[in-house]
Amino acid sequence: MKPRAHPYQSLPDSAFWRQSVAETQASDVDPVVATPFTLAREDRVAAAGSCFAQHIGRYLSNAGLRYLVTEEAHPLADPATAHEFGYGVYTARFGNLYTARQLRQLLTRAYGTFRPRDDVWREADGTFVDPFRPRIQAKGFATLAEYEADRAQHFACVRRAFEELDVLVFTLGLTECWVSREDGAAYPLCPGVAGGAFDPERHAFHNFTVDEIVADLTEFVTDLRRVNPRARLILTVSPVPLIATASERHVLAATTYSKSVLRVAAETVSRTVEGTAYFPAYEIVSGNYTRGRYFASDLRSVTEDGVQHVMSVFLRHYAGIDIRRPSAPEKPARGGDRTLEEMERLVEVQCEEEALGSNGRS
Amino acid sequence: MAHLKDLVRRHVLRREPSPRPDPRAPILAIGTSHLAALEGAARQNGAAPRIAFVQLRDARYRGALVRAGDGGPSLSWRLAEDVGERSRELIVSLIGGNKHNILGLLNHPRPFDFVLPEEPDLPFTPGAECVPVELVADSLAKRAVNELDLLRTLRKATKVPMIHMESPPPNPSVDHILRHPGVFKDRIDELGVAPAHLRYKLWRVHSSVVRAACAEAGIRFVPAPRESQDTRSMLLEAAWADDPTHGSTWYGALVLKQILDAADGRKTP
Repeated sequence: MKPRAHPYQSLPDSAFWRQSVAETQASDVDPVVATPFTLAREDRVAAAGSCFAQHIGRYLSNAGLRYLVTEEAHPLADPATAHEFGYGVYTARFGNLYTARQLRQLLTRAYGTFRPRDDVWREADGTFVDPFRPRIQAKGFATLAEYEADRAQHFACVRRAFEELDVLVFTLGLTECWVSREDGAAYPLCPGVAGGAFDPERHAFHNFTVDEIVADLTEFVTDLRRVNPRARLILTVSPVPLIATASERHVLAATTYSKSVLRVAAETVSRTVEGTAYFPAYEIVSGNYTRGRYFASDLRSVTEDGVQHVMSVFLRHYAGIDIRRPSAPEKPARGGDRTLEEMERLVEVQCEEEALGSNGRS
Repeated sequence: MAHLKDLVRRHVLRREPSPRPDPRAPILAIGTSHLAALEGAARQNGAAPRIAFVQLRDARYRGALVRAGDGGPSLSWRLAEDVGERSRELIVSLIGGNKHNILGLLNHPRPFDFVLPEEPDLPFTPGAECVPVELVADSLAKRAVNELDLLRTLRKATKVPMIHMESPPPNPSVDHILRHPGVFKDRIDELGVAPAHLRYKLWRVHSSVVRAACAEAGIRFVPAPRESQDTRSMLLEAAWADDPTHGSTWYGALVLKQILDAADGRKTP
């Protein structure tokens, strides 16, 4: 019997598993069919999100695109130290933003429309920790004055980022979160893990639903466009599994749930909010076509090959750039501050001169 | 131009290595630029026979710290020999002590300031970028890594007591620095002298970095003489050298007294 005409007959290869996945060389798998917009060379691209988002800036910069960094370390810090202090890791020094609620909260906090009651943690050693970026300084802030000055500066950089960016790439990482019972403020880490003290009377576990995440992202885009009407948003979902769950499920089941919720939320927003897109980083890394080879031995960390595959697909579709070779990891270059190098030379000269003969007053 | 000619003249005159420090002296003071004020003071007050000097800038001590192989660094044989003399009763370090001036003697093109934890109410330069004090300390520690390694290696090289003298507090007078800019003249014209409160904070952080390294190594850290400091803990005018960063011979005499007190077992105030 001759088959009747049906919709699948006219679909491209990308619609078929065998052609586009099973019989395609793994490194050539490209799950992007179309993008709603592209990046121009002059577009300023910001990055935020869970830890997977840290790779984005490096690849954008290496590809010659304008990776927007509004909070750079002072040049007295060498690059490795600057990185340790969270400078340049993302567009501003906000640390990991695992949830959509955190992203929205960052904007409202930066513009002063939300001030969490639990605003600073004083540690037993007298240092101060920012509850919303608790690992930004390994030893915390030495004084409350330093903390407040740094945070005010940070918020100014965040506002600049939101107002200057053309495109924000946001990587959704988690649905599970700890929030304040007092005002709903969302913490990146459970209080007590990297500062602060856990108090069941004040801190509650929350596992965000699809609707909540869609609402947070939608409200974020609305607020963002009040200060930057041209802003566009590219959403990705981190392929990195949960390191732990508080959901009373097995961590593997919790991971599947969490990533599924994030994936649906990202899809929903990209289909309902103009100027937003979903990019399938999650699928590229965790698709079964890789047979797990894009995960390191801990089965969580994404290998450089995996990151390179993600970013090559991203750059091809969004910027028309073909990167054939993996980008070399950033080398911590010698601190290149010309003023300090010149001063170092002069102090050496000055000391040399002083040592050659006493010029002290007698 | 004149100061450059003077520099060349001094280099040429001092190209030959100086003679070996007196092996009979019970006190051996080792350092670089801050040693000069001490040498001058020792010559003046007659303490010179008790104290010998190792000027690490001298050609004799080039490469004082030897890094070779997988083991830790060691002293050059000349320095090891001078330190290890049987007559030594006290080793005094005035090593380094200028790294804070790299960061903040002059204004940085990207003005910065920070909050000093011990004195959080000190002025903060208006409009300056706030830098975490930990980052400032890290930057100073990395710039001082060779000096601190030399301190540790010296400590391991001898069993006699060892002290380290804090570097001089900053000069509070911008006018004085402008009048005696030394080699910084061109850069001062371009950048200007950093405010005194910032130079003070940087000195304090530098001292805390060195103090911590000394404590770890078992070296007593001797603070700058209180009598040399004004109410803001910066140098009194009598302690100003004719340059932006060093102490005068009067200051050197106060440090010398601290050293002699330490050698005689008297506690430094």
